[in-house]
Amino acid sequence: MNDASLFIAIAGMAGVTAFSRVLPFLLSPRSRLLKLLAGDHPAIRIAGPALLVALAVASLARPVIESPTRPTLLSYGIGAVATALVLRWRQSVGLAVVAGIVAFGLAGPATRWLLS
Amino acid sequence: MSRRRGLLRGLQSAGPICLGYIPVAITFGAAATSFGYPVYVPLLFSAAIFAGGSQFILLAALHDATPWPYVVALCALVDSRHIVYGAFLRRIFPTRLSARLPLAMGLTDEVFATALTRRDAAPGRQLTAWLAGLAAAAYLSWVAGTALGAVLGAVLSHAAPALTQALDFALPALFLALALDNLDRETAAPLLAAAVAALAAIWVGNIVLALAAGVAAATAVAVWRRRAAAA
Repeated sequence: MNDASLFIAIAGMAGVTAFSRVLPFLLSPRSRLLKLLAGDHPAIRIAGPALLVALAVASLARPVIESPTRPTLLSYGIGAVATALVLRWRQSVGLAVVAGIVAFGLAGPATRWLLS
Repeated sequence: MSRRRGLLRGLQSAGPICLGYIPVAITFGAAATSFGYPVYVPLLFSAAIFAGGSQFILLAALHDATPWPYVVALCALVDSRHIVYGAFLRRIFPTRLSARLPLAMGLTDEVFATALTRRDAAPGRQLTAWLAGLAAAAYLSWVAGTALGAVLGAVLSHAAPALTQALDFALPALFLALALDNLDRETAAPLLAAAVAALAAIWVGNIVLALAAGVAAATAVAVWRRRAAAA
């Protein structure tokens, strides 16, 4: 991606995010759209988490599909388990991410050494 | 409570938000530089967008050469939750549009959740100052964390290549943690459907197909469950 496309992508995302934030303050309190969105429709509520699940599955599964070796499978598996366990233990996304990265980083060399 | 005290209390109330933001922002900055972007690019992301989930999604999509208009459109769907936040918080926001809009720009999931604790407070200057302190501290911690991560990431990629390799797992770990953080009894079935659909799609296709299939499957299950419950 060239610089121009990168800046357009950032500007587009910034514009979309800003618009979603200021829209309810620009709409009339009697607006139908405002009532629909504040009405907590299940399709709207689930779209965000579903996108994150799809991204999690894609980002974990694709490296394994592309390189179906034991070290890759174990590294991604151990990293995912560590992330999930620390999230459950500490209820902190930041800590869970750090734990996942550390486990993934250690699992690769450890697996290669054990399998050699 | 004076306006100044309101601002200080807002900054204090943002403490837990900042503690949560900084590690994730550092990860974002480091992941972006590990993908080869110069330090100013993740900073631009954080300063201009200020939405962690959307930023990580866009970063992954750019790295993956996914067409960005598609990703921006998907993120617009995700960002629709901000409209709900604004709708809930309208009452405690200042009446002047010129004061409302800058505050609205700081509405994130965590700022919304904290501001919701004051939803019964009387609107006024002090409350506006409190909201300003809350949003400003959250924003600054996010941008500062990104800067730190970007600089550290650039330095470490030369000094410790093994650590840079470990950062390959930053995005999968973040998406997994955020996905699991949204998991409860109500969302379990739609999110399981999203996972299965995304896995099938990534097996036969690409990431774009996986994202669309995941969102479509979860939405279909959520709507079906609502209709079944209403029947």
